[in-house]
Amino acid sequence: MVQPIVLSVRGVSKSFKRRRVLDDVSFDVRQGEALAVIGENGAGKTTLLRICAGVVAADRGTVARSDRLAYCPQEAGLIEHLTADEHLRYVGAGRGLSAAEARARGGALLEWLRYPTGETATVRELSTGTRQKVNLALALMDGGPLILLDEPYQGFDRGTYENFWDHVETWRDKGAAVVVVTHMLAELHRVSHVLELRVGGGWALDGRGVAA
Amino acid sequence: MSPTRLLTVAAMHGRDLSRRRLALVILVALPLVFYFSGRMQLDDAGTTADDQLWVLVSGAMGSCWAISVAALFVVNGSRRADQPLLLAGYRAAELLLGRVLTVLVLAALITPAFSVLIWTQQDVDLALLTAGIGLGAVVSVATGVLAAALVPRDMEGVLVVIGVVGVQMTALEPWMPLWGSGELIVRAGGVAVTSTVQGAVTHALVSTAVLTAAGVLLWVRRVRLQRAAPLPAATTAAAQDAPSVRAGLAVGTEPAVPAETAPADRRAT
Repeated sequence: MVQPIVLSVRGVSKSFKRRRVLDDVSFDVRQGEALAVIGENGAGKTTLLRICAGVVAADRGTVARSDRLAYCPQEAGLIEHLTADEHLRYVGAGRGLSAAEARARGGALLEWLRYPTGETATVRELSTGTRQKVNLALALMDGGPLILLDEPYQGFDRGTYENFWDHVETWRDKGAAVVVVTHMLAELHRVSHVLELRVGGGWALDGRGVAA
Repeated sequence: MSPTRLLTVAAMHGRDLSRRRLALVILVALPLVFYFSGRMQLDDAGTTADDQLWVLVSGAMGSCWAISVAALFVVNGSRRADQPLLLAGYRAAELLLGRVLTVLVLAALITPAFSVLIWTQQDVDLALLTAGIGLGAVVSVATGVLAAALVPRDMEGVLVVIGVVGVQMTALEPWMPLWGSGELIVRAGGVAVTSTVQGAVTHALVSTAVLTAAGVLLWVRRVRLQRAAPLPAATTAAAQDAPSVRAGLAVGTEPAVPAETAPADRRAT
């Protein structure tokens, strides 16, 4: 049975000043699918994901998606002098979770990401990879049907990185739709579709594309 | 607006601010330096009423500048977290007002102590002085919020605040937001002013309201999320059994998706 669409992008275009970044991009992602967004630097991968999340407006086109989503931006949206635990409570309160619920849910995610147990340092004292683990755990706390991840494994150690891709498959099996911006072409066999963006606005889905 | 979420925002930014020890030291030290550097000159060169007034006003302006900058940093300092927090379910107004609450608490701790300190040094009306500096702090928080909403970066925001406080000490003062609180401070120093206490208080409150409203509107506009279109009704599982709406390209060619996941027609609708 074909699964419902969770993210539908239609004719999305975006330019910065006179530079065209995205040109009439269209694709759908369904429950249980994973889409990898690849492309060289400046091809518009992060911009596309930001448009999908709603944090940036497209110049043209529409994005339809489920209301609930998990969005992990490339640059961690963390508050420098708060600890991971305080971030969990902060984000959890936004989602209507009590402090205990937020700790339980976020703590499990941090444990999965091999975040150091009992770490009480503020995030400014953490390494890049450890900060990124907090960033990813916060994004995933909602457990929504759509997961948007912008190179979420930057700075991860090897074990956590491999674990991450295993979890992409687990999320798919559980019915989530996952969109991952990635440079790791060796992992593309783990996704359902590959969207390649090209500098200048061109794009291709699963090898068939539109010239810039 | 949820009180729980509002208090959570205030509490978290309070923690964040309380750990910025150097910033807090500077925040407290700045008005003291403004004030005591003037006091030292007075002691050396003899004292006139104008000199006394200048020291009083410059100390109060230092306090206002420090609180404006604190508001600017608290609002702007977590701007990368703003949109993720909105996606997490917060409303923009909750995020902004929670942060404002944090700075107001800080101001409520600092300004009475500063007023008492001045009272021990100069012959002033403590109640009027506390009211003037307190109202100045409230106006300053609103000024900092508007600066944060106008310019997203700290450096430009600090320059805006410097500009406001600088112009405040010129002939344009009656048109500036800190005029009302300044009048109370001058009156507290025993100098006759043409304004009434009620007029000065009203000016400060109106200034706060206008600055806050402008700041909230601009900030909410800056951080707001784009509303996603609703998913097509045809995305229910039953409707999707029709292969014609299979995810795929918006071009007239077949995508090279794996055979086991690719129905006969993979074109986008």
